[in-house]
Amino acid sequence: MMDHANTRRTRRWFWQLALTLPLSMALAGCCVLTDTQVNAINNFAQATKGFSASPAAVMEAHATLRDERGLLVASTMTTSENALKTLERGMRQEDRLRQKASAATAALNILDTYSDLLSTLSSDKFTDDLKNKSVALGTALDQDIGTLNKLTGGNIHSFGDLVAGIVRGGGGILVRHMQQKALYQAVTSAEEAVGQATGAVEALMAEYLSPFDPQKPGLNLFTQESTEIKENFPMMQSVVSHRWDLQTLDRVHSALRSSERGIALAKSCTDAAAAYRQAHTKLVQALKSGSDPSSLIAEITALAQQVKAGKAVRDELKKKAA
Amino acid sequence: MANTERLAVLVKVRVAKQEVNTRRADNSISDRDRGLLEQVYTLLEEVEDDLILQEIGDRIDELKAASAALGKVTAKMDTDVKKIQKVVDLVDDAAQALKALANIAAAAAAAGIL
Repeated sequence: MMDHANTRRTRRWFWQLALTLPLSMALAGCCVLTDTQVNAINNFAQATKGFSASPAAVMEAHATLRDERGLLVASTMTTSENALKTLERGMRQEDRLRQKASAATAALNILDTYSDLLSTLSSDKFTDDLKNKSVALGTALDQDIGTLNKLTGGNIHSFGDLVAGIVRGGGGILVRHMQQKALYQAVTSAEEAVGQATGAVEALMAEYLSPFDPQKPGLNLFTQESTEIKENFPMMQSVVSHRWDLQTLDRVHSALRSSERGIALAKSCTDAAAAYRQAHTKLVQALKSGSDPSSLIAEITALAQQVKAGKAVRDELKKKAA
Repeated sequence: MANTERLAVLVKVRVAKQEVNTRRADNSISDRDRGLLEQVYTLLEEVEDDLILQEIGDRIDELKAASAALGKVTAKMDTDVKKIQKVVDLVDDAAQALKALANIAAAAAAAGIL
């Protein structure tokens, strides 16, 4: 029974190979993308890794600052009830803002998934895998021939290497064609969604940056926090010494610094989102027109630098928060 | 509440908070008045926090909608990756089948069947 099953499996495979190889040879002449275009997609995928982490870091930095402001303002209250209310309000709002940051992270994870899949589809993973498996196939075939020679006393020459070479070559062409087709479809069909996602990141960051104007959305959140701290600062003075103690000054100083860093990170996120969209749009144009995407190098480099700059500010914020 | 109305309310709340802060900083007011101003401040802060949260919530909803659109593209990409892997695995299947054949033939010969 098992013998029949294996014979059927081998026969089926040989038929598939027989049908696939001519197809692969035919496909060799009609590449969907050039190697340069595939490399450009791979570079784009590498450059965008880590892009999605920064917007949530901005939101978390603001949440922390909101709680700190609650503490500083509570120190200016003259009744325990009002001081406690202010403290608790700061804590609750921090929690709620952190929940929103988690929701943003979950929504933005799709950009990481997109980068990872672009990376996989533009890599040599499949052809390398095929190479290893074709070697195993050649070895298995030689093993069969060896067994057959031994059993029948025949002298059939081994041709495992030859079959492995054909499978590697023909299969490689087919696999690369499939990869290129999938990449072309993915990048061109993602154009609108990438535009929406990067636009949504910019709109979210605008809430933390834009000068407050009811006609234009933007809450100016970081500046508002530091403004409130400054407004409350005169009331943080000690009633005994008529001076500000060092601990208060230190906390106010840290809070104002956090506000500045938050603004820097939000700006960096906005720039990165714009660079992401610009590079992706140019990539789509290059794929659709079949042109050489070497002019994209500048865009991709700028994008990688923006993402890196965001990571540097993010790390600094984390270090300060720790 | 619509976005523009919400932002208009927020402007008023922030102006009111600023006014309350200026009065709180005045040393000539009585303790009772100061306590009342502090209460007003905490109430205004509550309103401001809620408005901010609603506004951020709207932005997150936009982000989720965009993410869902991109999710359709990545789902198709994932299917393509699996299809390509299946082609590569075909070669492995064949190698395994050939190995099994050789083993069966060798076992049959050892048992005197062939």
